[in-house]
Amino acid sequence: MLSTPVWFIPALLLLSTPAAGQAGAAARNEILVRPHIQDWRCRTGDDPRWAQSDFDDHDWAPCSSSSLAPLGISWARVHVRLPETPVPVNWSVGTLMPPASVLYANGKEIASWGRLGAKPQYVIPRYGVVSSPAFQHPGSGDVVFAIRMQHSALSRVVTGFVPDLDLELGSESLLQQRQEFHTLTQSADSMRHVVDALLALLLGAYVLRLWSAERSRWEYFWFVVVALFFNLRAAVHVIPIIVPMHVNLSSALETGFAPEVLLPPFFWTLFHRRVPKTVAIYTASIFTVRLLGLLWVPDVYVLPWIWLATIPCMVLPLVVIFQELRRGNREARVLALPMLFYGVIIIWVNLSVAADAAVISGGSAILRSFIRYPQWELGPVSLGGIEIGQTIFLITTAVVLADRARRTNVEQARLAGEFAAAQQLQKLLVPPPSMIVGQYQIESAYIPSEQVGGDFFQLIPNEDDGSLLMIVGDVSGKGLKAAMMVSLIVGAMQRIRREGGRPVSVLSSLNEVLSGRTEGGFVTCCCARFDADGTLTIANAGHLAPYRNGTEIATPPGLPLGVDADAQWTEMFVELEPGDRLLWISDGVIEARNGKRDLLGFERAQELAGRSTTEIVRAAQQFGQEDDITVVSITRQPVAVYVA
Amino acid sequence: MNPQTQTRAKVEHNGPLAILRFEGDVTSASKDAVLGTYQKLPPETKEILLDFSKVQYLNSSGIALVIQLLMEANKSGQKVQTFGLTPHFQKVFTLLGLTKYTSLHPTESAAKAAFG
Repeated sequence: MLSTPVWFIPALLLLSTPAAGQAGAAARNEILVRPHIQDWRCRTGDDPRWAQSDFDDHDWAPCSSSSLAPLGISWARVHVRLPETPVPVNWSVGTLMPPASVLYANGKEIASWGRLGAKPQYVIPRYGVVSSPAFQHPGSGDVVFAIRMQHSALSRVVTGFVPDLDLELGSESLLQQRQEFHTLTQSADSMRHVVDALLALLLGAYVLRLWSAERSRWEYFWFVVVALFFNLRAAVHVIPIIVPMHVNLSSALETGFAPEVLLPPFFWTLFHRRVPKTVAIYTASIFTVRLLGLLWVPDVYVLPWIWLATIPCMVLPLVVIFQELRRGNREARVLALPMLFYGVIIIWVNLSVAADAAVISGGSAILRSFIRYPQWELGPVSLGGIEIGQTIFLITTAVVLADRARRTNVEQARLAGEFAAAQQLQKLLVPPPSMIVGQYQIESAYIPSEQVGGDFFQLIPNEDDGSLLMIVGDVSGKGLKAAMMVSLIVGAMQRIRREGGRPVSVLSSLNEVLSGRTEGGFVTCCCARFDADGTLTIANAGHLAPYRNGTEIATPPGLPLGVDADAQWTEMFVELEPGDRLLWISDGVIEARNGKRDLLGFERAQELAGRSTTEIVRAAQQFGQEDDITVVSITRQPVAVYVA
Repeated sequence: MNPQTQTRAKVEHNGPLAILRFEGDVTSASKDAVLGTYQKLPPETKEILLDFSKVQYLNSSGIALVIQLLMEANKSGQKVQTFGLTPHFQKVFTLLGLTKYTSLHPTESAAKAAFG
């Protein structure tokens, strides 16, 4: 096996261009013998005698740079005449061998790569040095090198169209420099993938942070997955530089980790659209086929179809973008041109790779001559159109997502301000926590589970007859919707305040207001009238029954408000003694739930009923508040008795 | 905040009787399970049995869905019997006056017998 040093790739990437230049300069200062492709002679078939130096290969055909490596086992031979040198040279061999091959020098095996035979292993080629191989120096004569190689249709994709017969001789130190040069060039070539991957890593991490804050934004999720695929694909390019990697696995992973495949779900969710079933099935299918297709059928004829089938992955997002553009979508305006460029590049690349693969698998070369892979050489770095397109895609979409996150933050800040204002307003609608009205002392506590709540509590004293009307209630649901309903109820109470009335008429009036407006919800409400003579009149519309001195009062059951426009309620009467304490709680108390999902329940509420409002609220909160909590206690103060 | 379990509803038909067996917490997210299941009952359904024996918790929004079901059944002339509610929610249903629209029973057999 060839020996290859393990390089620290990131360092190489940073130093690649100048270091490569130095290695090249060093190479020029020493003797390097490198047979040209025309010097090689090729033959399909297999015969161990073909390794021997004395084998007559004059009738073998010259290897052609335009010919395909033949499938199965074939041989290539070259006669190398070592030049006379003033100083004796201890010749070494540097070679980039085909994926499955054995190298012979004068009939002796000096190196192998991959494995030939019934179960061949094709390994991504990597330059290696055979130090002072044990071939017999024939003085001024030739050294005959023979390569026995095996190719599959897929391994030819990796080696390209020219059989990879890259072999050179020189001193060991020179070839070590050549090896370094090769590795650096390979690393520099991988750098284009790494640059995109690093960009994807940074932007993906940023968008991942956005997604962790807003899990419902699936466009963030899909961007993160796309960015992850950029990194996985880059890893597939970098790994073979460090460790041997099988051709089949490399090809399957490179084909499978195609970020383009994930563009349909990304763009659909980006524009808040539900991904159609057909698109979801197509995306999942093409992803599976690309990832596993080459593992199942590791042959090149699969490739054209895979690449052609992937083209809709770019066409579909473009359709979505231009539909949004026609609707006047601002983000679509930003994305249209960059994505059009990216889309054209991706389609171009897919067509060119499909054409290449078609040629390799025996198809016509006409299509390939029209559609070349978009790539330009900048020194040791190949800059492909796909890399430019990917960079544009990553930056443009990340900018759109960042702007979206910024606008969401602004909107959330505005909503938070409005919620805070609503919270302040709701506080104004709740009577103060402690007050005395006539002969009644009132204590109350109101703790919404969110910023605003759906519980309500109102006191309406009547100065004419000294009575006090109280309503306490709960709108089903919670949050802003429930709070808006509370505003409606409190507004209605202002009209009822002017009308005065008995508890049943108050409930009927409120029911009239709420009927048809609760959108499937309901409002529980208990209305109590405290007369100056100590008579308490209660009508209950589904609210929790009050407690008198810690004992529950059995109020007549009644439908909640907003359910039935014709609902009727009955009143019950209680004579209050001085010192009697009435307590109302909302379901936020009895339905507080602890970590074991147990409810606080009626029995515990009964035990708490004798405590102060503050203690009851604290107990419910400690148990596990899930809903708005309201606790109201009204105590008939003892009448002062004057003794003469 | 406690995690909520998704509501599931199974329907069993027996002539004019349909048994709706609920499972999980009944909350605002249970609209399809409660109302959706009810609304898919065949028109010939005259008697409905609500099984809450596998329901541990109903919040106010979930109860609102049950009330809507009861109201619609009442308008359609269907009889509804309920069983399996925990004592806590039996009391809540009673306070809400829902016993005007459905009787609460301790067992399935008692609830079935109440159809007469």
